[in-house]
Amino acid sequence: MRPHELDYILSKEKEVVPSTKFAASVMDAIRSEAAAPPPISFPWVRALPGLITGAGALVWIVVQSPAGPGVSRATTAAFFQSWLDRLAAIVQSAESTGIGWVLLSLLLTFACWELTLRAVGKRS
Amino acid sequence: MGAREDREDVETVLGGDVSAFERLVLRWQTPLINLAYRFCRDRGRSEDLAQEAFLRIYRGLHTWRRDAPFSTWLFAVAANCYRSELRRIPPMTETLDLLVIAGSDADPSLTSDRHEAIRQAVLALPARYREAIVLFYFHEMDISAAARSLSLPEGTLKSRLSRGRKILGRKLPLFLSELRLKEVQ
Repeated sequence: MRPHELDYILSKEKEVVPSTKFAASVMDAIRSEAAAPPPISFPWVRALPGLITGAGALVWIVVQSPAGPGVSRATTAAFFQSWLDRLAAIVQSAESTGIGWVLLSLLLTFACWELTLRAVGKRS
Repeated sequence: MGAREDREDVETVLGGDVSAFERLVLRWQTPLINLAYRFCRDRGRSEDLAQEAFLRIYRGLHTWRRDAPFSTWLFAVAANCYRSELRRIPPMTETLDLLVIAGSDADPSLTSDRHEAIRQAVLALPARYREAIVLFYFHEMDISAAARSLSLPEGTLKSRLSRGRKILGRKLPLFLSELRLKEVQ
């Protein structure tokens, strides 16, 4: 094929005429777009502390983790086992100091506070 | 097309008068629909694509830098819109090989059929070559205008055009030799 043959065919295109309703339809879409409230931006200021804490925790876990080249599976398993042991120790010490009662009282306080707020909200 | 009218209408729209956008729509609807048609060869879909392009143009109107003509920016936004929309839902077309088989059965006396088959074959090209060819012929074989619409360097566009034409030439020699004979007669 010679380039001029393709030029000849592809240059000659019939013109497509827009339908009579096209402009009106576009303007309807534009007007509803203009009338719509602007999108709510992501609350970065509020989310930032949580994101920083999460990222920090992630970095800390990665730094603490023994996983890496040349580290065996057994070492990794031992690392997680030590974490589980620590967690179990925390739960045991909490039980011995009566943390359950403390949590229950906090829960009740929160429930009372919430009920009061709701009652006040209904009256006003 | 009036560059000054475009600029004035854009300023009016940005000033808060949405109705001024209608003048831009009326001025540019035919080129944008025709460009969309060349990308999909479907009249209904070309209007849908053009409507989506106008919405993107409206949303991005504040990003038009006045150092380039409005038309350049408009075609770049529209081409980008069509490319992304057609990547999402590709146009209904056969593979190049099937089109060649179908085209060889076409009535040789019907030149328009053969031309349409060749245009369909452009749609069956890989996207990068298809886009280069569509924009090049839409801009009346103006390399720099096509390159600007695709946001590509001119050299890249030229190499894509050359590769796309080679694929078409390899796949469609029969069509074109018949056409050549007819033109000579």
